Amino acid sequence: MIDFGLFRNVMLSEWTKLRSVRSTYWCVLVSIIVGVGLGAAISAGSAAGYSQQSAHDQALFDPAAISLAGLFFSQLALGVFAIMTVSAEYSTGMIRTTVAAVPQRGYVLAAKATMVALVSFVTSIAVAFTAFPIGQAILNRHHLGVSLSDPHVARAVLGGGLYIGALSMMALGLATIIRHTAGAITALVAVVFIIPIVTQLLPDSLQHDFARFLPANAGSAITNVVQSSDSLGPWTGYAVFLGWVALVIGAGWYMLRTRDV
Amino acid sequence: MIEAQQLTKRYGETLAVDNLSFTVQPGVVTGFLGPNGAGKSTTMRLILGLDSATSGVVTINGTPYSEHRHPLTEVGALLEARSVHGGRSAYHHLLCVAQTNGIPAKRVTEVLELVGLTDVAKRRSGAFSLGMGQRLGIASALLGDPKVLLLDEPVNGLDPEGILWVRNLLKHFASIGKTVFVSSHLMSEMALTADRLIVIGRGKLIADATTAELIAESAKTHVRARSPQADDLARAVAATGATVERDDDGALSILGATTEQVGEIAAEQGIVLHELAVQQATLEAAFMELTEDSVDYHATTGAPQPNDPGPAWGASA
Repeated sequence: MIDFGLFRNVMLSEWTKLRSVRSTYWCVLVSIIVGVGLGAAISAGSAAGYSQQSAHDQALFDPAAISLAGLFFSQLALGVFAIMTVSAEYSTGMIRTTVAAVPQRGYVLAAKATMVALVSFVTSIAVAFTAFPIGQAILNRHHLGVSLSDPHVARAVLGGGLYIGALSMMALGLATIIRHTAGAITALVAVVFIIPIVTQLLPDSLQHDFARFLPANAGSAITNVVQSSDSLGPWTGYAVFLGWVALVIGAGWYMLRTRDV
Repeated sequence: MIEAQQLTKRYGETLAVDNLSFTVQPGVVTGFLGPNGAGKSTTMRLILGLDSATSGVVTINGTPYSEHRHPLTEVGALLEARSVHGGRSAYHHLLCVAQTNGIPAKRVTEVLELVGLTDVAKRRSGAFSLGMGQRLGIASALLGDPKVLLLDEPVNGLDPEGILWVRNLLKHFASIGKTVFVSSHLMSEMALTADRLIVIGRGKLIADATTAELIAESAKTHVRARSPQADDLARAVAATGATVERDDDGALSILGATTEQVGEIAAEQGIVLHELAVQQATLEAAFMELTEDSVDYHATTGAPQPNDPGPAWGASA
């Protein structure tokens, strides 16, 4: 039986926690600046280099994804934000106060995950809907831009928010398992940056059978308009990614419930 | 009421709490004493469900802590000093704790007033002194107006005025029928505050009695006598069956005889007395005697003497 009254109370508490520490504001601010700024810079660079690209690369040219490329770095700032909501409780000892106030520890994790996902989703949607028109305006100077009404484009822009919202929950799950800021950030960077790069070095057959199911590859498919044959479909990929998120959160939930704090 | 039954907690090889059973009654202040590493903090954590017991159970008002839906209205706890996010203001810290149990924001303002932190409520708690941090912890414990108060070293870092305030607060809560369980390594403070004492060492129960009983039973009240004929007096007193020891300053320390008896012996034998007095035992001495065998880290110069606490019981457990 879910105790909705308790869940509501814990959600309110977690919201108070988020808005009363500086790190929340810093992480959100950095994710906006980096997301919009790098999106514009990468759009300008890609537009300038388009004419020198091979016909194959030009066919895979994805103007929507390029304008949203800054989100690739925003996700790290929002991932750090998600991690801090848990790891800072361990480093300061606040976790003992939290768990003493809410012995039903699962509710703490659920409320944290919901709040963190909401803040990350709203922030990255704001970044996406700001970076997209700026990027398209830059690309349009080379007649490469697309519009939100073009096929799949609106889904890709919205997808940036959906992907990062879910990724924050995974970051929070990692922090719940690892309980240290630096360790959890390392794990997140491995998931988001290192594993995708390493798997690109694999033979094509392995990429097709294996790499596209990995968290970052599967999850980011929803942000692409032009689909590579090595990636899953947008919604299939997102569903696979949600499976990964559930796995990590589930492991965190089990550990939070059974470990001493 | 807090009831622990055969509570045991093992961390790997270490047995932190060993088959501990005790009851903390409402209406009195119960002190929780033990040398460093005796398991006081671990026991407190087991009561609050922060750590899970290896075996045994502990209940608060008949129910394990984690089964209380609004635990803060049942139990107010002051944990070890560092249980607060230093980047958050005192007000927001208390607010986020209050919200979990549906306690209104107005109560936050009340407890801030009660502990005297109203003026610094908007300041980041990381900048607080140790004493202010303790006050914030006590404010947090009082949020739910709980029936049971559980305080781990509450006077740690407080100035004399703060210590007096905590002492009166604890006595007040006990007098209105609440259960007050407070750990400390300050014996003199416990002697003034606690009506009952639970003493543990190496995780085991050593004593569970009233403060007065504990002092009377375990620390020996002795007679101090000084005389130019100390050797004669020692022989004469020892002949009656009392135990006589020589203090560093040459005075005799006599166990098992009253001042009247010693005075009469001296008069019979024509021995001159320069001093004859009762040395009242202190809780500190009683505690040292009780826990002598269970101190983990003795001072390097030898076993702690009754009047020399030594470094074995420094800051906190």
